[in-house]
Amino acid sequence: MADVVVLGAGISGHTAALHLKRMLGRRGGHTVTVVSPNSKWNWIPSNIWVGVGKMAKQDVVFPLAPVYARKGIDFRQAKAVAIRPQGDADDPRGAVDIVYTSPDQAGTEERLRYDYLVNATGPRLKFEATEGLGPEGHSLSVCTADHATEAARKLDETIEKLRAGEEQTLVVGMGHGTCTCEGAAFEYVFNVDHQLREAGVRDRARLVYLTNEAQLGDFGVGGMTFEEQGFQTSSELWTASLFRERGVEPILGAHVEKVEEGLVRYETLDGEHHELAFDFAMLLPPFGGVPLAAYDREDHDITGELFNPAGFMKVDGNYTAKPYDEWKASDWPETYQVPGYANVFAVGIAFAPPHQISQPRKSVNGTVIAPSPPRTGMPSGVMGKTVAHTIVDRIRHGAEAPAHSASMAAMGAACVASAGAGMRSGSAASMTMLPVVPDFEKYPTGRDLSGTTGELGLSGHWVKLMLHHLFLYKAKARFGWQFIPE
Amino acid sequence: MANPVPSDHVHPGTTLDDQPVADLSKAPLPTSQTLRRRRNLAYQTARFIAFNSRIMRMVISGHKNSH
Repeated sequence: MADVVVLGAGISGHTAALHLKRMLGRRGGHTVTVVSPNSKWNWIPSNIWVGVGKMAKQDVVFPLAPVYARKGIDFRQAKAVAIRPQGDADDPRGAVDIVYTSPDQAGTEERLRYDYLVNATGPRLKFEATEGLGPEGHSLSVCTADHATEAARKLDETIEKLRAGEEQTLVVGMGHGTCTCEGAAFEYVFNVDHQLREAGVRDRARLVYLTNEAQLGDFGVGGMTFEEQGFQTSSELWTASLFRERGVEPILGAHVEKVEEGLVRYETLDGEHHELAFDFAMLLPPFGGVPLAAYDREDHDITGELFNPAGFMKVDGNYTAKPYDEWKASDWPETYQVPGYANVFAVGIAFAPPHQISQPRKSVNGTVIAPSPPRTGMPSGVMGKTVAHTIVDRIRHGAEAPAHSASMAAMGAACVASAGAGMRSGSAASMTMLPVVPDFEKYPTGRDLSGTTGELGLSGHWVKLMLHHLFLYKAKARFGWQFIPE
Repeated sequence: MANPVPSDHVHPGTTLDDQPVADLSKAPLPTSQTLRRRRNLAYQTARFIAFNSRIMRMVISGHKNSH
């Protein structure tokens, strides 16, 4: 009999929990417990549509408790605050300290014992990294369904002013030099442009894409090479074409220093400081790891051994400090197992990436302007399923059973920026990359050209709609959910 | 949906003023044929199948690589 605890119920944690329970079954006395401070699951990619009013919050979220009750998964609406991988003075089994967040038990503390632990806590939205950034400050976000709902309301107000004949400046992008998820900002600017056109007010709106990427089309993965009609072209040219066609003005290599009421202050790679007045600004925050302390059996703090300074958990990657040019695809983790603990794993945004994929840069003033590696969506789900397989093998065959692997240097990902509603009126920019982390020892361009593509057209909109419905169906664990790939 | 902005359209109030906006004037623009193709239902149905096939290939090869 084994107890498995999963911290987090996002894409990776929820996927891991569902597969664990499916494979372990209801017999044998094994338990799967999910700890999440949120009561609802959110299909985050569709928050972009909520952020322009094309979908409502209830279209992208659903309550977790009924799903877990149906599947026999124990659910604790709580946040984890500390990990004790060696147990404590009372019990050598690993333990997690949690604090309940559910209204009926808020503040209650508990120590959960585990035989296997999956840390899938996702991102901490670090709005505080930039003064005035975020919904509590002077800009908007689409990181949560509630943030996106507020962004849609503000966008409607902006469109009304445009209809009344006012000119408006809309800024979409990254709120700090170290942000990740540039693909989400790209999707949002694509959608905002679509909304403005649909409202017939595009000609009075200035739409600015403010990003920490040094080149357009970098997306935090160092850009991509595409093969098109017998030639190799770049995601930079592809994105530039898209922006030129749509009249989006890109400002590149920018670190946002401060957001004030209607004004964003930023520094660029050349060291210059700028001010940009805006009427509407959706700026994403940088991500950090969800803060978790770690203690050994004698209650000594070992947080620094398990987590990097940003709060991400160290796993089986090569974290040796070395110049960017010397980093290799093989440095990336494969099993997501925490060194020294064969029963602890970290997946999704929770694991510490060994290095940036996009070349890190500093401004001439020394300000770091470097997109962080994305590790959301498709790769997150695959990691969750992979560690579920490892844990089940170890429960069944003993702790020596080999770990399953799924390196981001081997798996692919898709990014679809889709705008509009309906089957005939939408539009989309669709990208695939294989692998996510380029492997220059295997491929001259770093990636498999047959799996790395960028295209525009209505079909991408259909893909995005299909993914929205498929993944919500899968996450609700409805009949046949396990046959829908991650 | 409104048509895309004409190739070299500059919006009123969209001056480059003092902002370090990247120069996109060398970026290629789609031809009218390309724009039509992006909305052609038959062509897009074929692209839909191709895109999904590519994703499935990635999923299968990704799972094959995970062991």
